[in-house]
Amino acid sequence: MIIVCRYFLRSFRERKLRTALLVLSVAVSAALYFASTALTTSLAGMYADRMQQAYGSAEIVVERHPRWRSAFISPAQADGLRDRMDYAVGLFEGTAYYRRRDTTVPMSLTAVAFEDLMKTKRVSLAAETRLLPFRGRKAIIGGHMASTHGIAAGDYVRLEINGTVYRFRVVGIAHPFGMFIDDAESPAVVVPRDFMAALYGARGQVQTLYIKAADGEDKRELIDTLANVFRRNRVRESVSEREAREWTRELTVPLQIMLVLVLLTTAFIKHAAYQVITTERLPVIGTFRSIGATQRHTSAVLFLESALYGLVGGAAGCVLGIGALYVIAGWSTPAWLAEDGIRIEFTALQLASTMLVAVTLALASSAIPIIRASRIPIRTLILAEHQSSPDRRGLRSAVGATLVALALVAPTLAPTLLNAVAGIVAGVVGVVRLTPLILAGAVAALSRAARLLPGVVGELAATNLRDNRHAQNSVALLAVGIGSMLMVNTISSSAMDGLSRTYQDTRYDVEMWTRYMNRATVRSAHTVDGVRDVLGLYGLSSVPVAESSEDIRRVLGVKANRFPEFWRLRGSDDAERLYAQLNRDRTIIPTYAVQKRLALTVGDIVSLEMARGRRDYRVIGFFHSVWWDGDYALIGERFLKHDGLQQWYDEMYLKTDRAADAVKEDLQQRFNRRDPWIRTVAEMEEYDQEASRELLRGLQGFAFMALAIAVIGVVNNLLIAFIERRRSLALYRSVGMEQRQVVRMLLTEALMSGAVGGVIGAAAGFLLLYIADYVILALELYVRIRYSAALIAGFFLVGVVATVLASVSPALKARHIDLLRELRHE
Amino acid sequence: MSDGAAVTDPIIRVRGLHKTYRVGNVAVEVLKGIDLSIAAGEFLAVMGPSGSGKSTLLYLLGGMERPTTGSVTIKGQDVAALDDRAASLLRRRHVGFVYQFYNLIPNLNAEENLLLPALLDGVGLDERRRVLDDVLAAIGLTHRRGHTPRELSGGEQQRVAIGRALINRPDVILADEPTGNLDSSTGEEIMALLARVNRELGRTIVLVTHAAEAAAHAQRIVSMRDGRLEP
Repeated sequence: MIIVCRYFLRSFRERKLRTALLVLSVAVSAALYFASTALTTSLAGMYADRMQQAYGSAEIVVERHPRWRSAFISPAQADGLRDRMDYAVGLFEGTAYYRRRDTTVPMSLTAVAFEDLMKTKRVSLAAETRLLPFRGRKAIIGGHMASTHGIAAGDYVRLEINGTVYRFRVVGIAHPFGMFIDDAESPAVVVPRDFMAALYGARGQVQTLYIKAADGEDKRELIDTLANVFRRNRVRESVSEREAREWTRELTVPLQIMLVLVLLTTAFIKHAAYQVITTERLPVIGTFRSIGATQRHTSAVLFLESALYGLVGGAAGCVLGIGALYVIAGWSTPAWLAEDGIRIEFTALQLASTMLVAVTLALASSAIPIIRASRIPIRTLILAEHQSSPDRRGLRSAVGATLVALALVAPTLAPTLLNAVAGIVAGVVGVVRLTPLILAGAVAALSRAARLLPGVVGELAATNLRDNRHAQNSVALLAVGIGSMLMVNTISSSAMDGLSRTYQDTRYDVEMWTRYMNRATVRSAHTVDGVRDVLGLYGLSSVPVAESSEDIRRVLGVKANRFPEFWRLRGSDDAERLYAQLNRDRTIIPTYAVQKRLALTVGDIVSLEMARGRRDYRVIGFFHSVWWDGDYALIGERFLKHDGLQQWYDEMYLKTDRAADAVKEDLQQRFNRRDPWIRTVAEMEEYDQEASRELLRGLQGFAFMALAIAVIGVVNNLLIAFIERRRSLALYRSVGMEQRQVVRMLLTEALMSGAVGGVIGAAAGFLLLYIADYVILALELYVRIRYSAALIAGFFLVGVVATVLASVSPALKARHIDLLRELRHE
Repeated sequence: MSDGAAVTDPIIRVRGLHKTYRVGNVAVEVLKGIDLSIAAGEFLAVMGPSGSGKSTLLYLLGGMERPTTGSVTIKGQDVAALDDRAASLLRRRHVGFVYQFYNLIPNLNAEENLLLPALLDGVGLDERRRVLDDVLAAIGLTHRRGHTPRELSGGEQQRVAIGRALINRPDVILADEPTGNLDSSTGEEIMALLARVNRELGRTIVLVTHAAEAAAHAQRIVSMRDGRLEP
């Protein structure tokens, strides 16, 4: 057995390049597996940390419910639950304005008792003076704010709160931590709770209650109990694991889908390589068997050899994966989350599971060739009488066609992620199975076409591709690689395109939000220099759909006579009629994304849980939009105001007749004291595009890896094919083929197989995009797939060029084949 | 030395042929000064034990190897002086090879294997079809023309190889142990076919073999030992 093992280890050394390519393909797959699993942990960790900074150690938040008018909460209601709570901290939140001569700095204001502040671990003080007792007009500010404005502990500052300026003494300067983490961007100030309670006339009450459960296990139950106690308030987890998971899902699920493609590609490469390796080893296996090794011995050694590829590839993959994780995390992490630095987190279990995946991948992909080799009778092996299995193209094609049909049907059964992934697997395997049939058809056509051309090389090249296993493998690999790239890039460009189109629908230049917006605010905005027209809009967020777990993220109330002047309703032929109906009846126009998600048709009734209770809206049409991820609907303004008890505008659209940036500056000045949020449409578009680019960059990295692995597979195939074809090539030379003709013939073969691979790849891309549409739906994202002829042509060319380049080395080697050696010996 | 001094108007002339290979740091002299003339239309057998250099001589005659020193001329052309293109043209038009292990292209059928040199020579489709029918009839494989090598017996494969060697009507056929991989009766059939090619088509045949039965079909036999022709 040791001798047998030694033989196989020696064969690693002899076939260095092939060994390296196999290890590399397993390593890249393992690296991507590791990176995608660890990315979930890292992003979730970063998200949780960020949220922790906002909420401290509190796990439960009790806050005002949008449906109820009551603004304050009485913490005493929870007194009966004290023993189940580590703490319950009440506070007020709002905006304060630091004023000094001509300077006004808006600051986020938190009013809290000092001992409560310490309980939630949201503040760490760098300097303090006369901090305690923390009562009256005392303030804690951040270090950045202090140094920028030359404020020291003990100084007095003027803060405007609710329209009145108060003089506060700075009793603490905080480190940039917890609630002061964004001090540089968004300064914060902490004042005593009793001051704000007195100001609001809400003694003994608070605006928000932060709670930590005494027993972590009891958290869920405590939330339910608190929900019963605070019936008119909203009780929720501060950092919901589900929220974090759902948020990271947008990033990780697409990566995991790409991983499925990469794993399939690698398995295919290894399977193809092992078909060659076992065939090559048959005489040696025969010899070993003849001297007493059992079938089990030789199979075990072949499996061991395969597992070695997995182990070495897995170890290399872990190292590569840590690097890839940094890169992908850097690409995929949104800027707001990356502010604290890109952090990667992984566990020993993830490293171990990566090794396991690598070894399993290696063993599973080589199992069929090894088992087949073990079943060959010893006499056949020794007499070298083994012939590869008869052509079963018919059966393979039938299986392939069935799998492709399954891929088309599976996601439509239910738009779940599992069905979509099953569809992708079936689609990829189906395309691989159908490739020989498609290649045979293409070769027949190419053969005929080549006869019409001068020279013989084209015809010979086409003939050589016929029933050529290596060509079939190369074409299939290219098809999968190109298909993946095409899918991801089409989605990327569609997402970008969708964003641009949505912004093209806007007929205004600036969007603005500030507190308590009403007609007076609109009139005031109108008087700002350069403002031509202003529209105030009512809106609601996260409106629950009755008797379901679904909600609509944004519902906008529109006025039929004014809204079309500011917004073009895309995807509907009869916008005017729809707007008129919105005004008349309780009707709704959801986006096509909402239509898909809730399976709506025109005439359906959507029941929404509004502040006044459940209200039925009849669907009268749909429109295209990617804002709010497409999770969006329009209803009539008067219904939204009435049903949603809305008295303030929620958004304000402004048309300008001078530069939008300059108007924005003037608006900022005008509404400075009301803490406005103002963006030009151009800024919003740039921001959204950057956010999309961040996500798509990560995906493109993975897709590029899929193509890179496919190209590695093609190089591997071409090298194996060259080794196997040395004698044939020598023979061509012996019957009078010139060196340059040999080179041209091999390059033409590569050109033809690259072209066929490109065409099948484009078809595979369409199939994957069809399935991807359902993945997008399952992720509740909204991207309309737009097929780009330029992308398809581009990847077709990439396939052709990559294959031709990969064949240059074997073609040049073929020029110098030793004819005597190749032709004389069996 | 059994030079063809008596041969008038030789189609192949070999003078002072040496061939040395390097195996690692060791130089192995395989041919040690061969002089040989072969007349047009002659059937010559080169016999000798394994390692005597007879196959190397054959490959040098066909321009697939270059001599270390000495010269090989075919129809007055110095084979060693030819560049790749001219040497390829020589093999395509003037020399046909038959090997011990047939050396057919596995993914081409019998007809395509046969036509390969004609295809390389740019022979038109109609002409190829006509020649193909003649050759298939001559080698007796008309009924097996669509079969791939793995579907043919050893004898049939060797017939295809002979057909391929004949397709461009070369002046010389070089055969390297053509019966070495066949049973005796099939071997005899193949030798009879080669003899008929020599006799009826007037092709010059150089046969390398260590089998006396095969050599018996030749008009002249020369022997080699240790890289030299035996007197």
